[in-house]
Amino acid sequence: MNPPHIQLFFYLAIAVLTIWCMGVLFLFITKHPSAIMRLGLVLMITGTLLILIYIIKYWLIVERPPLKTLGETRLWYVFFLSAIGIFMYFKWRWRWIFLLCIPFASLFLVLLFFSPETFDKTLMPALQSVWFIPHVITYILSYSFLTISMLIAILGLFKLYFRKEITALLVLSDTIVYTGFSFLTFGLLIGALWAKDAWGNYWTWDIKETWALITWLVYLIYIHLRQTFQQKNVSIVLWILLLAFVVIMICWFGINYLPSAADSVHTYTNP
Amino acid sequence: MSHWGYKESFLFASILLISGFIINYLTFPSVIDAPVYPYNLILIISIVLYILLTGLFLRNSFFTWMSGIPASLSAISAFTFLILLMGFIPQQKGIIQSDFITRIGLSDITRSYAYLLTSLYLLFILGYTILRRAYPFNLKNIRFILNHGGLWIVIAAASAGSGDIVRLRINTEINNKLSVAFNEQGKSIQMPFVIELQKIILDEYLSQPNAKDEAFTNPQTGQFASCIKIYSGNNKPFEATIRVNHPVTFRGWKIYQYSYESAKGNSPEVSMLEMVKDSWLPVVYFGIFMMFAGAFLLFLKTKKTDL
Repeated sequence: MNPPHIQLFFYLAIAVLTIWCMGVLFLFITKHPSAIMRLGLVLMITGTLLILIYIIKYWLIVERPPLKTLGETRLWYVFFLSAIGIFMYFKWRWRWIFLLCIPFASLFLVLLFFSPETFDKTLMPALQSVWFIPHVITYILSYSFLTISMLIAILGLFKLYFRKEITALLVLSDTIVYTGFSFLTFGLLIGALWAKDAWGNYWTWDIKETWALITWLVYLIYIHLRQTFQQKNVSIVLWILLLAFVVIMICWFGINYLPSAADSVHTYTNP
Repeated sequence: MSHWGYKESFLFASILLISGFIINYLTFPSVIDAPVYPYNLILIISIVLYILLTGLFLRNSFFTWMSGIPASLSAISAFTFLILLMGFIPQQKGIIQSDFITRIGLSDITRSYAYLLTSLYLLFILGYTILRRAYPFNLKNIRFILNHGGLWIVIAAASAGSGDIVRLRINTEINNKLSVAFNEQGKSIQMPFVIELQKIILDEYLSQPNAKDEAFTNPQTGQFASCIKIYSGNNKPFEATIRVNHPVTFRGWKIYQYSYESAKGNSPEVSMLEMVKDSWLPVVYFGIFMMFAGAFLLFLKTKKTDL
């Protein structure tokens, strides 16, 4: 029998997935703005709010910021992905953003089923710092924005294949990447300042730091490549966004499964 | 050179990388460490002066190429390539084996010639790029200058400053007065003061009613701290408590709580402290601050989109 906390998450996830499914349906069932579309929007927001409420409840249960384990960061990621999607809809009135964000967020929500949290209350001394919350949150925020840029890139590649116009899409992806990249920079710098406080050195070429730098550099390459935009290079920048996302996944999750990660100062729990 | 595009830039960057590998192979097992003061400062000032003088008075095709996008991309890519190798190849300080990978410097990349050449290439390109946008000065370029200038300062100061960082470890025991610490090579260093450990504070999480029984036998550490007293000359003894994430500053040294040791089941007896002296830190912090400001301005930059 699962502990009550895990059951709570199970019911929450089912509820959110159902609500989002219905929301996407209502949003796309009619062509023109209507009451049904508005209902779909309300359902989207409701689903996202449910996740936020769960995060808050989790925070209260474990009596520490729920930002330590991979599962906890994944939960914030699901929240930010959907919340940013909603924000983007209100800014640009582009329904497609939900078709990009919600399935991907749902995928990660489902993944959380397979690695249920232990609701462990401990927080090791290295994590007891004012830098803890800003460092992790800016990183998850940046990952969420950059994930959306990856999803937009996939859409762009499909559109290119069907010889459609993607200039507006590229401008949007630029905006999203700039936002995500600025948060990525914040996270990197906050990490350096924290490292100085905790371990006496702002950069130790730890495996996580190395891959965080690689992530930062790959998006730097995208930004600079976009400065000399040429029509024939368009697919290159889109592929770079996909590649960059793979780098994020390696940095966030991949390295925890490498044997060398055991020595990393970033590993706090067993995978 | 001003018509040098991507092909020429990436070819140049590749030559730099390969030259670095060759030099490493020929001079194996020598590695490069940053020089100490004043040589590291002289090196940085020389680079800055060269960039300023050639950039301000000699704006030729070399300048145009070095401050352009193709050169920038080749430098960033070469640098990313090396860091990517660091992400895959286990890095070891101090040569252990002499296989091909190690001989060309890839087992200790930050001390390899390829890394040195690529970093210098990057610094020169960054420098020329900043100069091109900074002079003549226009406030509209402030975001560019903050981002690129901040990065330049961080790379230069962190690389050059690494030569002046001193890191010492000291294993303090309760009521023992120690004045000898050990550096990273294990050599003992006499300190101009004496450290005495007075007390170790160890807070453990009480076992939680948890499905796993391990929680009862392996309590996790909530916080540990050391109360120390430092005697130096005829001054009043300096007392402080050092906790993880809360180092203490004494005479330019930052003292950190590194770790502790205790015989199984007993309370801790040895507290391992780390003392770090980093004179270039304020410069690095300035660069980091510039990058923070630049990233914030980047966050505010949005492009008009009609979807």
